[in-house]
Amino acid sequence: MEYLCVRFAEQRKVLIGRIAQGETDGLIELEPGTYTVTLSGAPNFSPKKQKIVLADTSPIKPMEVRFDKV
Amino acid sequence: MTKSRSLRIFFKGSLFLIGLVLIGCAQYTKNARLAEYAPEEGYRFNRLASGTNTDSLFVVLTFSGGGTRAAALSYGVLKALSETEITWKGEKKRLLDEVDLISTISGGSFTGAYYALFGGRIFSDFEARFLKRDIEKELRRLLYNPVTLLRLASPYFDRIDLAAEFYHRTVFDRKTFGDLVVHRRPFLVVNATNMFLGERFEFTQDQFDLLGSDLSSYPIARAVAASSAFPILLSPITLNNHPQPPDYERPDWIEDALEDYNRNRRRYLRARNFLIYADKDDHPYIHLLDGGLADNIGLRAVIDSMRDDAREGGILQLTNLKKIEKLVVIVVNAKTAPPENIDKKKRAPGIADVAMKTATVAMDNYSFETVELIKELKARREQIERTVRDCQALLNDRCAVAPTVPALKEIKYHIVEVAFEAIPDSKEQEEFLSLPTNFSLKPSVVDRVIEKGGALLHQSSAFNDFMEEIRSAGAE
Repeated sequence: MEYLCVRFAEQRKVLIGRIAQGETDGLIELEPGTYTVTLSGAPNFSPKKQKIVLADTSPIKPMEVRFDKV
Repeated sequence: MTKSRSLRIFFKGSLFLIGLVLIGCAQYTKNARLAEYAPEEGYRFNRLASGTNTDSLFVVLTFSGGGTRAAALSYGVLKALSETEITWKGEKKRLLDEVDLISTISGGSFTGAYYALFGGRIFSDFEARFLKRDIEKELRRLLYNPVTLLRLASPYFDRIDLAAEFYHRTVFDRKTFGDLVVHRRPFLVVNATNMFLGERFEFTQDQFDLLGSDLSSYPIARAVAASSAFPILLSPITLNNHPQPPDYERPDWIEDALEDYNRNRRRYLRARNFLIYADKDDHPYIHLLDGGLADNIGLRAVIDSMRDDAREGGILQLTNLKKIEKLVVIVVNAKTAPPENIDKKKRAPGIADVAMKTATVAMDNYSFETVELIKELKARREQIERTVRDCQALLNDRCAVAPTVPALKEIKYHIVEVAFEAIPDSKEQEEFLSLPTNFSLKPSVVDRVIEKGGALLHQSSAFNDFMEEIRSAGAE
């Protein structure tokens, strides 16, 4: 498995595609692959979504994806 | 022309016409077209009320194929779970009431579907209504009926459709998947095999969305029949691959996964198969065979749920949302291994032996590897949890101000196997391993298999470890 950590100023659900797969600041486990990441709730973040390639991570060093508050 | 001759001609003509009408009318039950795309509706895990069934203790049962033998063994396990009391999160209950998901194949599908539909009623009437009936004899009797023979002459009505009608009437009380939606967990996943793709096909609304079809009006008996449509003996079940409703949106993950050919072949193939279902012009029909061809123990549905990011209510999602504390997977495998003497003969085995081996060797090897795979997934996850724990401990030990390693929610896994191979007495083991695969076991044999299901569960060290853990948690 691969590990992802999504950062945002507020606590939000992290959507992979359209499915909630975890929360901001928490570890999310996914298979290696290409994913489109976004957040639930008010659309006060940028970018609106991010396409990532998840590979070569570990729970100690997950891939970090950041959304900025706008 | 005499009056009696005219009457004879009229009578024969009428019979001929009735025959033609019967042949013309004989048609398999079609799956309905989906009027509108409703991802929140239909038979999906998230739609079922959980009641007092917690997510924190997530119990999965898989029931293998193997005719009445498999149905009885899985029934024995259900019975034992109904007699096993636990205390979880301060609440006393039966372990059976914590079962969240049942994935079934062939013979095991009868037990799983009956329990999902009728709940506790299974313990009062399933033995008489299915396990102890000579289903094969009853089907044969039906087959020799002249009306049936005429209906079977239709190219759109085959032996499997006859069996499905029979199960619909006499076992499943004409229930459909719409009747399951109003129920609580467990969520039932009846597995068949898509003949074209050679991959697992499950009777859930998530799968039927791909066919532009509404599962709710589909008879449960037809799903069970598809799951047990053993090749050659029974014909495949056919489904219509309808055009998608106008408001249907293709899931986002497809485009992403199609880029993963070299990164994650499994995910790429999921997406590619999705596109095959989406190609309605080239694939207007789906033909389903026995679920055992794709996975004879029903465990692949569970492994897929542990990996699939596109599944609402899947085990991966529940893990990521930190809902699961204990994951218990009970694999009920009615595999047999009749005694053989092919290695004792100088002469090369005959065509019957070769045909039997051709049909079963790959299936048995795959079942074995599937059980080993889920054990490996468990071991890998435990190792990662250990690594994170050890890393944090090392940092705490060596650094004055230790940074915090990202927290990984720890999950206790228990993989329990119930199989005749675990019977300690070799003579008794041989007896059970020699049981036939059919739908007509003697009632006394059925009783023994049921009893053995419970006994094998209770003698499993993995099950006893889990029970010990539950008792300790309850005592705290």
